[in-house]
Amino acid sequence: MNRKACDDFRKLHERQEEGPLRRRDQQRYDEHLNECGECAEWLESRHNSLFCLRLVKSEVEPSEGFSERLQTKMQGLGKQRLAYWSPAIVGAAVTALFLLMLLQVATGTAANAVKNQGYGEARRLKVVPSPLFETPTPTPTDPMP
Amino acid sequence: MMNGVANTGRDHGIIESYFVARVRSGNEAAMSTLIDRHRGRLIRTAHNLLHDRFEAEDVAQESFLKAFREIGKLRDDRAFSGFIYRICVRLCMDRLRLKRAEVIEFDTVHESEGQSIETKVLVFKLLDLLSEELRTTLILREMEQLSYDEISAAMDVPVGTVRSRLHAAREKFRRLWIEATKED
Ligand SMILES: [Zn+2]
Repeated sequence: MNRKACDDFRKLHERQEEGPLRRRDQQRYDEHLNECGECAEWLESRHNSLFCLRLVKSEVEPSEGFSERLQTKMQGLGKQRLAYWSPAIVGAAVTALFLLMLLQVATGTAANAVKNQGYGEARRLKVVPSPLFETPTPTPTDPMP
Repeated sequence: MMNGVANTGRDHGIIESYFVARVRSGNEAAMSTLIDRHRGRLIRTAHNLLHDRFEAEDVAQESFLKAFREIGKLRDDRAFSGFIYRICVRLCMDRLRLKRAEVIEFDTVHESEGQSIETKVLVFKLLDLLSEELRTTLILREMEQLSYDEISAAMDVPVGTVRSRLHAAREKFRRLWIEATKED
């Protein structure tokens, strides 16, 4: 027995499980199988054990009432629930939230600009308040007579 | 089949997407159709993995509920079959992890299911000696006849991992099988 050749044979066998071997590999495989008793024995036990496994593969059929029991569990899983989790609805909700936050930031900035007009940077830039956020201008008091 | 077309892989996908689209809009009749189309396979897969037909039915039902609830995560309606199959395999793996500490009982092995009780009990006992990962990979390949890529998707591991797990699982199972049959 040549350990290296045996290992090579077993590796080729594993590869064969995924698809056909190339012609040269197949030739090497066949030659080794023909001359190595130990690998022939290994292959036989491998086939037998896996055959045994396939033999006990389940053939059961759904029991009577399987679908009915499932239908009962599914009650309430109809339209409402699926619609609630639908990606379109979730997407729309996120967009709406984002727009709302954007609006809030915009109104806050404008209000601050109005509030600070006449001081520092705002005065130099001559910020003109939007009529929407206009604050009543204090009436100048008459100078003392 | 729809429009009298033979049920090729592509047509299967088209039919599947038709019912999935209706499920998305909450149609319960379409849910029933998908249940009828997939229940047999899911129960058999879960039975192969869990060795208990009642638990297998339980997992199959759980798979349908999860799949319908999470239908929004399915990007391609034609892929429902793989989507629900993956859910089922993962639910089985969760149960197998929980079961590790328990003593496995083979109370659901019946001779009427085809093979001899002795063979079944022997195979189930040997499979139970493998780790949960090796056992699941071996069953998906040898019993379920999945491709390496399909196992990779179902178990959410790279194909290289599937390859090495299969190599280890087949060899370990072979050795256990030789040991067990020597005693007879
Ligand atoms: Zn050899």
